[in-house]
Order: sequence, then C-alpha cells, then structure tokens
Amino acid sequence: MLDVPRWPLASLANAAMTDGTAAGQDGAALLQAWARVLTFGGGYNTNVVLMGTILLGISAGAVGSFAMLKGRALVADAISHASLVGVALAFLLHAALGQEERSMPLLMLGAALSGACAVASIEWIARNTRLSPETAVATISSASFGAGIVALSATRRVSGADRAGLDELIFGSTASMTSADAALMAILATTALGATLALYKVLTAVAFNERFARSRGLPVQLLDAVLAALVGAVAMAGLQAVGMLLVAALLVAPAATARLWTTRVAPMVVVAAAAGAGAAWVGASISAVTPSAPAGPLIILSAAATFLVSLLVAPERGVLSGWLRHRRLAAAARRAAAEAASGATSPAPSSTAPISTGPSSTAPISTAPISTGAPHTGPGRT
Amino acid sequence: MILRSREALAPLALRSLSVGYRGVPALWDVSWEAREGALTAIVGPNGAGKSTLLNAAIGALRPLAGETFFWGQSFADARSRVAYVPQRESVDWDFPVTALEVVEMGAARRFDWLLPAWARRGEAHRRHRMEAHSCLDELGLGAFADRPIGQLSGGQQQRVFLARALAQQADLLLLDEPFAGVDAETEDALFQRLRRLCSEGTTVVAVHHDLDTARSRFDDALLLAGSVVATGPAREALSEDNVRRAFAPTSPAAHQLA
Amino acid sequence: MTLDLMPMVAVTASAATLALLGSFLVLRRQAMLGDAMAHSVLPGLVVAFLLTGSRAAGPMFLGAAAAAALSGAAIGAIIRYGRVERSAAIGLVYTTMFALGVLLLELNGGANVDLDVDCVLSGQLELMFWNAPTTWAEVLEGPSLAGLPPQPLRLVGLLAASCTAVVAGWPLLRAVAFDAPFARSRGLHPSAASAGLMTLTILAIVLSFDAVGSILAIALLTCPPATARLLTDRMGPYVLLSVGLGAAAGLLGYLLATRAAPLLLGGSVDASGTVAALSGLGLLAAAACTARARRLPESQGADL
Repeated sequence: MLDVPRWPLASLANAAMTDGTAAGQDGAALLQAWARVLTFGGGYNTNVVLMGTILLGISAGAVGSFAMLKGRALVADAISHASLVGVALAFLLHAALGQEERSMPLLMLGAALSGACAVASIEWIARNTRLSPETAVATISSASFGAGIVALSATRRVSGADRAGLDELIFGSTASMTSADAALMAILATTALGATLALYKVLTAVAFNERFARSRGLPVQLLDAVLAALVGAVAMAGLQAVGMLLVAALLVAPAATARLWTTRVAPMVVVAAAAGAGAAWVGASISAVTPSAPAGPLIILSAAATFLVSLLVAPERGVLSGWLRHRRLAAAARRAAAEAASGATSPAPSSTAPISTGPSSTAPISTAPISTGAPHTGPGRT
Repeated sequence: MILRSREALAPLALRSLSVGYRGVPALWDVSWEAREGALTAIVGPNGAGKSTLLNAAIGALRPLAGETFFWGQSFADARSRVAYVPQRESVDWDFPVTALEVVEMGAARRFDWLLPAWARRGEAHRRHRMEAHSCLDELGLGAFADRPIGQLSGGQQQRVFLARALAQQADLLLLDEPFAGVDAETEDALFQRLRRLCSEGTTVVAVHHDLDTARSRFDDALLLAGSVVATGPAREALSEDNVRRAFAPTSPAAHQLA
Repeated sequence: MTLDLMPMVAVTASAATLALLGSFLVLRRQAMLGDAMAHSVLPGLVVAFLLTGSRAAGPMFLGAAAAAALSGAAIGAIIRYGRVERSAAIGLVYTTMFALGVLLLELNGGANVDLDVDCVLSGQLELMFWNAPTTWAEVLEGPSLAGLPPQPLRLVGLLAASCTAVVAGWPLLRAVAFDAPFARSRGLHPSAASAGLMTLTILAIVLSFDAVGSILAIALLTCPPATARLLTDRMGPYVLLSVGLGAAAGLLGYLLATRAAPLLLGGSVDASGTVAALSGLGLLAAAACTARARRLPESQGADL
C-alpha cells in the first residue's frame, strides 16, 4: 500500500522540533522550529512542499486578479466544490479497474472534468434562464458538492483501496503530501502562471471592455473559457494543499488585497502574486510545525489577515483614510451650511473649479457659484 | 430652529444640503424650494447629484450637513403626504408580482401591510383594492392588472410606478427619471396626467434628462451640477448659457466623470 | 412505523423550512448570501461548543448568530470601503470564516467526538433513530415517547414559526423585497424585515446543521427557490412551489439514499448529499425545460 515513499511533513517538523531541545513543546522552541522552516531549513520534503505552495500562491494571485476584474471570482468556488464528484468518481473507477494505489493525477483529471461541467452549466443557466449568475453559482456549487459527498460515501464501500488523502482533499493538508504531489502542484501552478503572463495583454483588454475587445477582433468567448481553465488549473493545483472548500479564497483574497492598494492592472497582478505567495509561505510553514493545524485554513487565514490590514490602512480605499476624508468633508459642509444660515456669501472652501457667476440680473433666476468642498481625488464613479 | 413662513409653506425645502459618498462630495450646499402646485424638473449632467438629492431628501441617504423640510416638517412627520418613485432600473422587473399588486403597495395603509389578500376580508380591504384598480385604469392599464410586471413594456412599467404613486394620494410626488425608456406617446400621456395633478394642487418634482422637454413641459427647473447652477422658471433657468455652465468640462460633475 | 421515521421527518421539515426562507434570498438575488451564512456560522458553532462543551441549541444559535452577524457586517464594510465586487466580498468573508471554523475544529479534533468535520458536512441523522411505538398501549406507557429525539420536533416547530411569520408579514415582505427604497419611503423598515428573515434563516441553518449538516442547508436554501423561480411568475405560487419542491427533495432524497441505494450499491449512501444533489437535478431539469434564448448580457467592464 505504501509503495510511494512518503516523508510526512508534520513528523519531519516534529523531529526537527524535538531533537536538540528537551522541552520541544514550549513556545520558544516552536518559534525556533517555525523560523527554521520559514528559511527553508526544514528538510528536503518540507522545502519542496513549501516551495510548491508558494508557487501556488503566486499563480493564484495572478490568475485571481483577472478572474476578479472579469467579475468571475466565484467561478473558482463552483469549480472547487464540483471537483469532489470528479475526485470520488475517478477514485471509484480506479478501484473498479483493480488498482489499489492512489493516483493523484487521475484524481485531478476527474476533478478537472467535473469542474468544467459545473462551469459549463453555470454559464448555460446564466445565459439561458432568468436566474442571475450569482444564483447559478450558488445552486450548482452546493448541489454538486452534495453529489460529491454521496460519491465519497460510496467510496467507503470499496474495500482494499487506499482511501488515504481522499477526505483530506476537502479541507486540504500538506502533511500527507509527497514530494511528487508537490511537484505536480508546482508544475500546474507554474503552467497557469506562465499562460496568464503570456496572455496578459488580451486578458486585460477583455477584462476592461468586453465590447471593445470584441470590436478589435479578440475571441472573447474563447478567452473567457481560457480564463476559466486557468482558474480551474489553479484550483486543481491547490486541491491537496488548501482543500476544495477553501481554494477559492486563495484566488479571491490576494486579488482583493491588491485592488485596495492599486488601480492599475500590472501592479495589481504583482501585488496579488506577492500577497498569495506570502500567505502560502506563512500558512504552510506554521502548519509544518504544528501538526494538528491543517495548512489550508492557515493559508487562507493568512491571506485574509493581509486583506484585513490592507482594508484598514490602504491609502485610497482604506477604511481609515475614507473615514478621515468623510470627517473633513462633513466639517466643510457644516461650515458652508452655517455660513449660509448667517447670511454671509460663502466662499468655496477649496474650490477646484471656480466658475464665474454670470451677472444674474434676470429677476426670478437665482444663480449660485459652483463649488466643491474638497478636491476631487480618486476614481470618482458613484 | 424657527422657520420662516415661506419654509413652512413650501412642500419641499432644502437648506444647505450637502451629501458625500466615501468622502467625495456628490451634492454641495444646496438650498432650494419647490413651488407648491408646480411641475418642477431637476436637470443636470450625469453625476450632478440629481438622484442623490431626492434620496437625501427622503432620508435614504444621510447628508453631511443641512436639512430638508416638507411643509416645514421632517420627512418622518410628512411621510403620508409624499410619494417617492425610484428609478426604474432600481428594481428587478422580473420580480413575480402583478401590476395590481405593485399599485396596491401604494394604496396600502397601516394594517394592509399584514396578512395576504386571501386572509383578509372586510370593507377596508375591498376599498384598498378598488383604489389600486382605479389608479391602474386611470393610466390605461386596467387590462394589465393581473399581468406579471415582467411581461409589460418599459413604458407600461413606468406607468405602473406612477399609478402606485397616484394610489398614495400624496400632495408631493418625487419622481426619479419617470420618463426613462418611455415612448413619445406614453410620455405625452404621463405629462398630461402630471399636469392635471398639478392643477389640483399637487406638487411634482421629477428628475429629468431631456433638456428640450424640460424647457417646454415643466413649469420650474432646478439645474444641478454638484451644487445649484440655476433655479426658476424652466425656460429661464435652462437658458443656453446656464446649461453650458452646468455641462462644462470644468463643472464638478464633469470633473468627476473624467 | 419505522425506525427512521424521525430522521425522515427531520430531513423533510428542514428542507421545507430552508426552501421557504431561501425563496426570499433568491428573490432579492442574494442566493450567495445564504451560501455565505451557512458557511460562516461554523466558527460560531465551534466556539459555542468549545465554551459550553455541549451541543445545546441555545448557545449554538447564539454563537452562530454572532458569527453570521460578524460576517454580514464584514461583507458590508468590504463592499462599501474596499469597493470589491459583491460576490468577491462574499466569497472572501465566508471562506475566511469557514477556514477559521475548520482550524478551530481540527485544533480541538482529538478532544471531542461530538462535533467533527464529517458531522458538519453531513449531520448526524443516525442519532435520531427512534423506536416508535407501534400500538396505542405503547404510546400510553410512555418510555418510548421519552426517547423521542428533540431535533425533528425543533425543526417542525421552526417550520411552523417560519410559515406563520411569512404569512403574517406577506405584503410587507413582498414590498420590501420588490422595492426597498419605496418601502423605506413608506415608513417600513427594509433592514428590519431582512434582519428578521435572516434570523430565521440562521436558526434554520443551525438546527439543520445539528440534524442534517451544512451541505443540505446550502443546497436547499438556493436550489428549490431557483427551480420555482423558473416555473412561475406569481409570488404566492412561487413560495409554495419552493417549499413543496424542498420538502419533496428532502423526502425523496432520503428514501433514495436509504432505500434505493442499498439495492443498487449494496449499502446506503450519504442522505443529505443525496437530497442536495436531487434538488440540483431538479433545477437543471427545470432550466432545460424553460430555457429561452437570451440576449448576451451587456459587457460588464471592471471599474477599477
């Protein structure tokens, strides 16, 4: 059953933790062990898995940026939820053919097929019925996950086959990853990243103005499908490390973080990739030294923490700066109101566009100068 | 605050009203009064704050500063005398209700908001339904009463909204783009109906986007571009000169769109 | 009477309740919000469980409600300040909350057997088996009544309460769902109405979690209403149909999983998953029957 050599990450880390220090469980030692893993000193397998996860984070950030710009952030959610059916069916098929060993590429192929079916049915429902795309995503992803759970419960009836890791695909676990698994993940993630960078220009054009892109002769529908395939590739790559219920967040969180910091595409992709890599690095390494904590949730929580901090302090779209701007503006507005009430002709607080008032001699018409309280900064769409 | 007598009379009076979205001003220091019994257009470029003005007036948006009075009262106190019709795009026209059910929302008073129709008997309920029916008839939609609203044309949908406002029997109508997506014939019918309301003493304030009809069909106009550009009789307030200033690229609204 | 009468009652009642409350979410095009609520109550449930050490409904509901309120506020704040598109904000918040819940569960995994990841997904229907009395004499004797599991009764009670609330506030709920700005101008409180519905929804999710797991909750909040939405244009029939489809999916799915599957596969399969999948199949069938050619949606360029 265990023909494939395995060096579970967690036990390696445990060993690293306990050797040397007598009190391996105490906090300082844990931090020390974490620092060692963070700096790639955690052993061969640990490093391979960590590197693979970081690559996953990078490509999730880049692909997620375009998915978000296109308003398709939740397609990842549907693909990953639907992948359980494919995984379980592929497993059943594999077992029916008499194979006992788990084959990760086959499971991923099954996942990809069922994910593609889910995306196709969502697109079809959104285009051909009155249901909104959001409803289509919510229904298809939950129903197909239900079907996946049914298929998964059927795998329990198959005796003899190696079910190890099947349940772990739901919530993700790096602890049981072999270096071959990590290599597969890295290859998929790198391919998706490479394709995204190669298609950077056309994807940007389609994300910003579909009609314009179409008028320029770009195959918009094909590019939509390509983007969905890239999202699917990242979701498949992240299946094992992050888990199918959480991998969608890896595509959404870094992209949303990047969007808080910049309004241009190129920096957004870079920042998102960096945020994804950082979250993967921190999450996977913490998981390596605390065996009971699975990597998937840790990676997602790291990504969410980055987003939260950005949401608070980002200069243009941050909560703090928005609140300060609002307060300044409200104070200026109150001043203007007070001046108007006292009868004084109120000069504009800081007029960007002072327009000379025409002499309003025609009796019933009252004209007032145009004034704005604050300089119009930022993207002014309301 | 002691109100001057004119404020007490005006159906709608704004006092130094300023509204901002996320720290960006949408409406700045607007003081204005609607004339009783007049048909008034609110005109301005996109992003001039026209809808914002209506939303702030009825308390759906919290202003940065300033106050709104309806006959000298707050909106909460004058609520029963004011009918508000939002933009047509603000609702989902695929929603499973019939035209009559929409208009009944306008005719509903207090306890009409409870219990479905089949559970209610009695005189009050029958009257409420009759009122809704007659408002639909008045706008020529009697035959469509039981039609789901999704099956109506754009113009018919606007008429359903106006019928709902009529059913409220209000003294002040606040309409947000009531002529958007309406064909010329329907527009004419709607104007005639609004004109009759005004002659009966109702005040109508409508956000409007077409300058020509704003000049020819409305009594008064409020020209907005972030703040007030001009007010007064429609033809004079919407003079070429004023309009050019409001739509000029240097006006705050134009600046925001850039 | 059969041993699994109570699980059957629980699945059906929970399916009907979720479909009823979900029909308002789908009407307001907030299907994803139901999905989000069902995912994001998990950390609340786990914290409540860890604090009290029991699966009592009261603390669990409080924990879930707190978690749901937190995520609702977070979604609102992210949309408002971060200018992140709605579905992305929802996806971000609920996966984060779910990740937190999973992490808390796993960290305490060894310590308890009552609340683990599997029962979160599929519930614990098998705990509801009940030796129903077969004769009146047995009913009168009482001991079997005392062994009646509480979850199905709670679910039936919630179904009754939800129906009452929806019927009592029908015109109000309809007006608020159709045109919230107008409703507000009439002095109704759209946010209070949706908070009320949301409270019932969270209660239904919590009780369903306990009984049938989260998959069922999520699928039934969205699939039966979406199916009903395709089949009718009147609100009364829509809500009734949604409840009927939900209950039918619940009952049929349970019977398929426990009665038909053993004949075909030699053993029963997961019941809540079957119910969820069945409701999805119903939607696909309805979509195939009612599909109409639609204009391509207007390009939705991103607004950076």
